[in-house]
Amino acid sequence: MISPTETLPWISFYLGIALLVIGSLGVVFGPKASKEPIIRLINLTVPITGIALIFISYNYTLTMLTILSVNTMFYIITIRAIIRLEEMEALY
Amino acid sequence: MVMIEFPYAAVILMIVGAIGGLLQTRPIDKILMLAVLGDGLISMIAAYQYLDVAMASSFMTFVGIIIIMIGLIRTLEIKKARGELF
Repeated sequence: MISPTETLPWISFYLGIALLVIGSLGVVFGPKASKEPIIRLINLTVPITGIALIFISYNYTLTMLTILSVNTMFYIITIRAIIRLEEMEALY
Repeated sequence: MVMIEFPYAAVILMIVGAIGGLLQTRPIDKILMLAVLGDGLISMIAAYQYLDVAMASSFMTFVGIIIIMIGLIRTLEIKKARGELF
C-alpha cells in the first residue's frame, strides 16, 4: 500500500515535472500548433496539469484550486481574442 | 492475481492522456484525450484522500472544456463562411 505522506508526493512531483517538460515541448513544437492557435491553446492543458500535480505534492490544495480556476478565466479571455482575430483575418 | 496500486493506475492514465493529447491533430480527439488526463488528475487527488478538492477541480475542468468547445465551433463557423474549410 502506498502511503499518502511518504511515497505518493515523490511520484506526483516527478510525474508533474515530466508532464511540464513534455507539455511545454508540445505547446511549442506540436503538430499543426503553428497553423491553428486553438490547437496550441488545447495543448496548454498538459503543463497546467503538471503544475497542479506539483502543487498537490506539497499539500497546497487551495493553490491548486486557484490555478485551475484562473486557467478557466484565461480560457474565456483567450477564446474571445482568438475569435475576434479570426473575424478580422489578422491571425496569419 | 496481480494487483497494481491505485496511484500507479493514475500515473499510467496521465501519461497516456498527455502523449495522446499532444500527438493528435483533430481538436475533438485532443479534447477527448485531455479528458483522460483530467481523470488521471482527479484519481491522483483522490489517492491523497482530498475528496472535496477532487470534486471542485472536476467542476473546474468541466467548465474549461465547455468554453473550449464553444470557441472551437465558433472558429469553424467563421472558417466555413470564408470557404477555407476542406
